[in-house]
Amino acid sequence: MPNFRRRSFATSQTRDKDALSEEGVSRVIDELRQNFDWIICDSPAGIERGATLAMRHADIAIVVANPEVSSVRDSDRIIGLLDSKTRKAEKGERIEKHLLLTRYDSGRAKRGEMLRTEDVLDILSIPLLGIIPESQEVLRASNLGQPIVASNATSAPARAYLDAVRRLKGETVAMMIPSNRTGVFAKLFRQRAA
Amino acid sequence: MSLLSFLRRRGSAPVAHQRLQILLAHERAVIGQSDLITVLREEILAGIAKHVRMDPEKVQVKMERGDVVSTLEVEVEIPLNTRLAAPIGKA
Repeated sequence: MPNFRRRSFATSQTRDKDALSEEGVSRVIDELRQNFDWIICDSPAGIERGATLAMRHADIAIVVANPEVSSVRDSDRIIGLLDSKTRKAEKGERIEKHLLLTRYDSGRAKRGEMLRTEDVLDILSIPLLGIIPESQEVLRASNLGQPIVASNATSAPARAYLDAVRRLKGETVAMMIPSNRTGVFAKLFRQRAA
Repeated sequence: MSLLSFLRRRGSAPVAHQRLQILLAHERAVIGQSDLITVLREEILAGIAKHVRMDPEKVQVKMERGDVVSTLEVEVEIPLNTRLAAPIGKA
């Protein structure tokens, strides 16, 4: 991306879980809005105060869920909070919501061992942004302290994340689950989203 | 035994789907009430109570979230022998 500037602000609440105040977050976001096109605000998992603070000023929400009961259940709660506790919702506006399904194993889903994409979509009723396949590469990248798209940009999960980013920016990208197979058979075996 | 347990092992995803549906049907009904539904319930109740005597416990407000539309279901039980209540004085 040309002229792409990135700044990271670490706000991990490692010392004090209540270090962030609503007014403080509001002030920082308002300042950032004047200088950046995209502000990505990571949220702690679950439905605690940290999550409500992170979503408070959002225009777009990406709900990240695993195909597991506990994760889908929390996502449902978060969607409810997005529709009621965000600034946009309080002004009577709609907040744009997307589902990013991670740690997906299409083989297990096909065998009935894992919730399928359509099962999760059926329950959460929000549009799908992408499906990230389960991969050992993710832990490897995490161990190295690098984002997966930086540590191994050609790996299946990295390609899935990059596709999701393009969709978020408004491009039309077919919903595929990238696989790790390479070479001649890669295209033949590339699975369409289940 | 082996075939049965084999089939049961394979079929855990439908169980997960079913568990989620039951869990969320319950949670959406209970937790969802805390915000919008509670406000709506109170205001609808106050509106009806101006004109009809009724038991506040016999009012049910449900919201179902869908793909395209969400529906709000309001169920008010009015006793058979009810009469229009005199308008409540403005206090």
